[in-house]
Amino acid sequence: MKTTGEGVLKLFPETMRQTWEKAAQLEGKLQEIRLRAGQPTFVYLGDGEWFWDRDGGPTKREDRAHRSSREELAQILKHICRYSLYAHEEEMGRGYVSAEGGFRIGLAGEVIAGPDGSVKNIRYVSSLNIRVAHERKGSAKGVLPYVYHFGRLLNTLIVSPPGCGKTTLLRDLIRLVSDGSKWAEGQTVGVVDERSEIAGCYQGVAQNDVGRRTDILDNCPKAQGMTMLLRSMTPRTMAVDELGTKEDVLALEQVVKCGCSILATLHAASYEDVCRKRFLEALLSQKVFSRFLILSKEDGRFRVAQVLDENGSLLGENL
Amino acid sequence: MMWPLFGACLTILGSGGAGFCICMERKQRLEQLALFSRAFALIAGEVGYSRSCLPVIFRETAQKMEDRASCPLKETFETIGTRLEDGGGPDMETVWREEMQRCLAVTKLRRQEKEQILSFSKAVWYPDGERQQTAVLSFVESMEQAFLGAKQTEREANRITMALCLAAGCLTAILLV
Repeated sequence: MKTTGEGVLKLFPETMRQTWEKAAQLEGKLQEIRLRAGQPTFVYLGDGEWFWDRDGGPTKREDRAHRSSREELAQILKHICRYSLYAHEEEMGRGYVSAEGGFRIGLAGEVIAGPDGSVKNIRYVSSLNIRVAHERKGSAKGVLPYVYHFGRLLNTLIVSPPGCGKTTLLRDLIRLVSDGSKWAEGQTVGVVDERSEIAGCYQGVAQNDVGRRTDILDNCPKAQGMTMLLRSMTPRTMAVDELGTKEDVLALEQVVKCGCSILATLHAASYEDVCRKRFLEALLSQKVFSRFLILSKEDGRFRVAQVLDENGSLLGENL
Repeated sequence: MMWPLFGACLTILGSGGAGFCICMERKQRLEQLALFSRAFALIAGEVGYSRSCLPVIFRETAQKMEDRASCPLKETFETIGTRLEDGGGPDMETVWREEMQRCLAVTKLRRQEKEQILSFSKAVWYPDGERQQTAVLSFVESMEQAFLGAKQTEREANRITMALCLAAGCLTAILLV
């Protein structure tokens, strides 16, 4: 099994690896690498933003910062895609590519639009955002007593602003539900991983540990994927990341009707913010979600700031 | 009288054998062109249908090929696939050139055909699956064209080669006797 550091290094072509050797030693700290054509390269470590030195290593000096050319970005992208850009056509149309090791590389550049106006692909890539996969095993242990009721998993919505660890917590929760814990036996979990962020699948194989009883539909639209999994895998729990449309909600209603438990995440700053989301009205009025886990971030680490029940009453805090 | 006759026969047989060898080489080239054409067709099919990454496609293509000493394509594709999939080594152009050159060195293909095959790595950059499949299919086409061209001239060329070799053998025998 490769370490995250080795994985980071392998994202770069052989000719550039010398510059990034030190990134491999920042294992655990490195969160993001942002490369922009002609601009200084930034890295995000646990303690904030740094420039990347042209000789390798983080620095605060902009004059020493490494800068990538457009050609270098294209080379990196080709290497990440294993010289098969066409194989990542759909992902690139959504603005990212997934790489071995659970990494996700966000793309920006000139968009190629299809005849119907939809985004088909990105050419002339001018920015790459390498997001380092973070598996924080055990991070969901503290919330287990709140999300189980006599061995049954309660429908749970994880809520936070972007970058506060929703997906990381969801991933660990999925693993614990799937493998079992002292609160309940392991059960089958169906995961619809629309953007390969939960399991970090690479060529269909999960790069992150999401448990032994977990079935993953990778790269699949949420609403469609939930229906497919219900029919084909009959999971006891359905997990999805980032609810955002009415179609997602309709599919979730179907999942609930089938007796499945739900684990989901949502972009929102607070419980009040959740209640203001109009597309969630139906689920909230039916009190489908019995638990709301509100996350916050402090000193670069996320924590569960509040655990609320279906009425918004506080059950626990600062877990 | 016996020995000169025996020597003359041997000379004629030898030159006939040389002609036969030249013909066999031509046949081998035909077989090798067909083999490359089949390999590129398999790759094009996988690009179009499964949209898998090239390293995976190379290894799958290797599994579908037969092992031949005269054209070790199976082994070559297997090695290229494994080296590229690992991602720790050089880029595709280098890997393709290194491994394919080794394979082409034992084939009877012509320089132009070898160069065409070596240029494959430059044709795999399309972000669009259909365009990429078309680009690979152009390799199939060029191999097929070379195959058909070689096949058309093969029979005639073989006849001339055999005739010339035998004639040369007879002439040498007459001169020697």
